[in-house]
Amino acid sequence: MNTVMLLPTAKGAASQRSSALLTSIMLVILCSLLGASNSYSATPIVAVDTSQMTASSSVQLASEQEIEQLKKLLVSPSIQQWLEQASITSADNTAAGNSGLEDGFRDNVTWLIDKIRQRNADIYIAWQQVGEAPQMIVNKWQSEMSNTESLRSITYLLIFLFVGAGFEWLYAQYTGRRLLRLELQKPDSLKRRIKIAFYRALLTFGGLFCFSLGSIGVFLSFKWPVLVEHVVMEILIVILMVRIGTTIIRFFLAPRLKELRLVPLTTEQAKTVFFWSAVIIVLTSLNIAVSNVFDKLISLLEADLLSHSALSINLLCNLILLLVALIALRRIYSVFKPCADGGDRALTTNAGVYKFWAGYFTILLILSYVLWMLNITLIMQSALVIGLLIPLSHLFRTWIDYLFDQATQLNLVEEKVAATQIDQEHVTLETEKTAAAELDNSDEHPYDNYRPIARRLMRFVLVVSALLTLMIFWGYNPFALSNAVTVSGQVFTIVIDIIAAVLIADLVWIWAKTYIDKRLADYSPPEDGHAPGPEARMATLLPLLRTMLIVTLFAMVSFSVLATVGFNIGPLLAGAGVIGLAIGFGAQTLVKDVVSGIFYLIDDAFRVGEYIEVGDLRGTVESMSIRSLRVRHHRGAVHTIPFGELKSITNHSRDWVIMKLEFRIPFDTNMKKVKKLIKKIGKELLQNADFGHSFIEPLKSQGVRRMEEFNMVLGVKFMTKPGEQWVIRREAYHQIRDTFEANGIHLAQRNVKVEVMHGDTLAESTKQAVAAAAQNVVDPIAVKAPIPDEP
Amino acid sequence: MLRKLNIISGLVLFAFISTHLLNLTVGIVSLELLDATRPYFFAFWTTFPTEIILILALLLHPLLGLRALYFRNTLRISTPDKVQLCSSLLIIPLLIPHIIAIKLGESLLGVQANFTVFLSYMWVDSPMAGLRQVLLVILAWVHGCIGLLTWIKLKSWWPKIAPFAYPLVVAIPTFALLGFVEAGRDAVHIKALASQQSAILKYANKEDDKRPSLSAASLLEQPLEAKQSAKHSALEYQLASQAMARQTNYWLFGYAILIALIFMARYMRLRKYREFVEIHYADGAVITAEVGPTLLEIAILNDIPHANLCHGKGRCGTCRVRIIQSSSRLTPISNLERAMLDKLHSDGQTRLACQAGPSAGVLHLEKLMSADLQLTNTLPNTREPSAELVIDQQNERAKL
Repeated sequence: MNTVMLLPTAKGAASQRSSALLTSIMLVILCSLLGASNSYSATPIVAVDTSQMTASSSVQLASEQEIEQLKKLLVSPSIQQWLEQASITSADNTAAGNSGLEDGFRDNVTWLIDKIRQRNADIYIAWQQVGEAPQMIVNKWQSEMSNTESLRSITYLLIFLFVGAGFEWLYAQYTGRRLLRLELQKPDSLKRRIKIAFYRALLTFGGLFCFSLGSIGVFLSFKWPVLVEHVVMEILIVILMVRIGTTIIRFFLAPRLKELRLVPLTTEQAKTVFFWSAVIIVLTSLNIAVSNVFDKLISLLEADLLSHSALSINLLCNLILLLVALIALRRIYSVFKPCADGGDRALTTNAGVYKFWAGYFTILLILSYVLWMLNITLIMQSALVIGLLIPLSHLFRTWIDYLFDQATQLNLVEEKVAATQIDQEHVTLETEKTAAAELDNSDEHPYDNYRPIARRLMRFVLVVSALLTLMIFWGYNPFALSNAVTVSGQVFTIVIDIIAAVLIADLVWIWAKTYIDKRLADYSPPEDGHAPGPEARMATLLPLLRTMLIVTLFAMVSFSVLATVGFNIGPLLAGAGVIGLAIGFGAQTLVKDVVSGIFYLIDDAFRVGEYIEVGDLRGTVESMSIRSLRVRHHRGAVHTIPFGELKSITNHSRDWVIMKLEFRIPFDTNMKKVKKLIKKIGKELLQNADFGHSFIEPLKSQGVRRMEEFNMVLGVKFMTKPGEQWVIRREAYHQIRDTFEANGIHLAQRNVKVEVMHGDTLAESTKQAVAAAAQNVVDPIAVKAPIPDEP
Repeated sequence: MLRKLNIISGLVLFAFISTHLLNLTVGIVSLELLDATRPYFFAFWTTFPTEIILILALLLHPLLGLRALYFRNTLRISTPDKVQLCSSLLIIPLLIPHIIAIKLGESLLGVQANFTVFLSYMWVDSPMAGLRQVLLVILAWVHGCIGLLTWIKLKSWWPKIAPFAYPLVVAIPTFALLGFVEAGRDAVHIKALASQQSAILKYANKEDDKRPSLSAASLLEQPLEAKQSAKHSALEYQLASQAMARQTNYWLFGYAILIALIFMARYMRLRKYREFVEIHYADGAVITAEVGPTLLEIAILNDIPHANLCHGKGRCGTCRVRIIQSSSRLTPISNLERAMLDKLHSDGQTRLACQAGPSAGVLHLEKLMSADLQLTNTLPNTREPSAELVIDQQNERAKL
């Protein structure tokens, strides 16, 4: 038993852990980097904003005066002449646009280099001032806020935090037991595990909400001096940020609860990762807060000197953050390395992978720090986003794989347990082998069909969010249509549009393809001699649908790409429309046939091999094509009916058929006996090896159905599966007649009583002549109508 | 006996703090009302027997706490205990200036101890003192609540009133602090007014030298001698406050030495342990831990969920475990543990995890209580609930 159950998990663990380790290392680093990116961007963004603002305001000021001049100039005729000439020449000069672009680029580079030079000078001064900076800032601080005031604000802060904590404690008193219960559960399936982890996070967030309610609520009820309010708010935000961040990380890592962990890490790894992530989050939010406070402080006064001090403090803070991030990277790497060196061949290859990623992130971190130092914020942010995209998509891919593995494996293990419980005696090596085989081709598992979709979806979300972030960084509004003026901006927008279109198409395609492929894979062609099921037509339709889909998607994407690049796709669309119209008119009935065929298929009105009746036509369904239905009459004729022509269909082969028989028996028959006999025959027929199994209800007597002139009509009926009733009817007639015969019940025959007056006196020959005459009178001379056909 | 004394002294102190804080909540309305209501709130605590009891409790409670610290085996304890310990260590140094200011303030400085004086001192003259006071209130309240709840949780009537009592726990200090802030603002306002007035007076005085005006003259009926005495008293005041500060520093210094001594003594006591014990739980968990802490402390340190309603005080019996097999010698059963085990009618293999400390070796044991158990409302009216009764059916099922 144990071995059977352990085998799959052990085997899975090896493959899992390799991905698991990779995942976790990247998760942390990702967190650290996200933090880093935030903090780095904090100050530069402000700087950029202000510079842009000043530029735009100066432009406005200039234009105010210039508009007046322009108005005057436009009135003068010489200028008008010149303008006309210029408009003519400008048409010729469009080719010169290239050189203009080059100039712009050159300008950009010079501007950039100037900026870097300026920054270098700034950093030099800042570096010289590092020693004095704190003193200067303290001085400034004291001038802004007296000692008493800062002490009081600390007092206030203490009160807020206490009230917030009190609220949270109160919340914990009412929910703590539920939380403990959640934590004590040992979930047996992945779904449940995620559910519990989610509830746990929800409960924690509830506490957090109470905390912020208490602290911020009290905060709002006071009135503050500007700087004090800013500082206190920053501190509150830092605390909230840290708590939210750690709660989210705890949701995934669950460092203390192995059962609720959503990522494949050991407890030690999870603890390390959690600790360092928390450290990075704390540092990052502190960093942001400090730089924000300094910005505020600087904005209150215009001295240049202080900005250098703030810069030096910023430099130091970010340097500390960088160093801590690097240390975190080392620490986490060292936690993961021993596992990788474990000797397993699959894992030692992973050691290289870790090394690579550790190096990668080190370089990325240092690079972004250097770029930030040089004040090339845009490039730094882009580098960060792009640099993060690759490991992130790797990370999430591994994680999704892990989740799917986990889900399928848990299910398989469950099935196995159930199976072993059913037949415990058959636990042999064989079952182990089958278990292993099941694990190997886990493609059969239902969850696995969604794996590619999940992967694509994840990638789609990641890429799109990265693109959006990039766009925001570069200053383009992602939600406005492309109205960028510069060439680079336009190119950028176009590229983003194209990528988005392709990604969406890809997502739709993968989703449809997975679905269709799954349906097709589930379909198994009918064995010889068996009628194909309803899926048979699906099997012919689905590939067609798939082709249609890819063609449509391709057309749509190419149209959208063309439109983005700037082609006028109006004529194309119109052409396609005209052709489509023509084809549509011509193929009207064809389309009607195909579409109604699909709907008949959905209705499941008939299947191959069933006996149906369509209007005047009847017969067995022989085959179906996209357009038409082929029905064979039981006498051999083949009808081809387009689906569009079908109005109502009578299907004779569904579920059950009732057959009623009639016998004429004389008036003096013993009905009880008849009933008994019929019952006996019914039983006998049920026992029949050939068709006994086809009965749904056995043969039974319905008693006298009606009286006729010379006899009674005995009703008999039975219920069978469709198509079997003919054989059974034949046999039933046969047996009933024989049995009646044997029991002295004669089926009534038509007889004529001719009463002849004084018959005794007639001679024998005369009697016969009279009888013959009477016979002729009684027998109707009627031409019988043809009996309806039966197969 | 000592345990009971600890609880009683703690309760007395908690009651005093509660009245004090309730008094402070009046400050939300105004400073005058706060001072006006002060005698009523303090009336009970300043009469003959209760005052003595309060002072005794104030002396006894910290000493018993220090004794417990000395006997503590590990400092890596559960979070409430950690908070309890840290707050208890911090309360005394925060409290010393307050007590000295009240007791000696009257005799040395001749200042009457009322809220107006204190609040104006804390909000205007020395905001550091205000900060310290807020910290003291928070720490004392947290310390008191943890202690009180640990004790009260085991009472049979507690679950019934708990949902209504919990909000009080938060409301009292919150409103008290808000009252402190509001009354402080009043004090600041009054002080600002006073200084403004004195500035006007001074200005008027200066004017007066040259050109006496009627209004100023009427204001300055009580002139030079009073000023002289004021100057004199200011000097005295300075001296007296210096003396007070010195006194405070002596006390703080003495307290620091006491704490240092206790930690050193504790270190000496624990130096001999450096062995490991391996504990196998019946549900499959295996941990290795250093010898010294009790079984409960080891479990908490290693994130093993373990029932402990009284936080390891040996009062609830919910932490009891059955020793299945042991090569490790457990510490002998104390009287406290014996009493609890007898009350629970336990067999010889059962021990309280909060009392039994393992020695080096391998230990197999089973936790007898589910970790999430709680007092239920459907408890029969027993004075000391035995642990069998406190488990609701659900928990039993969950354990099975």
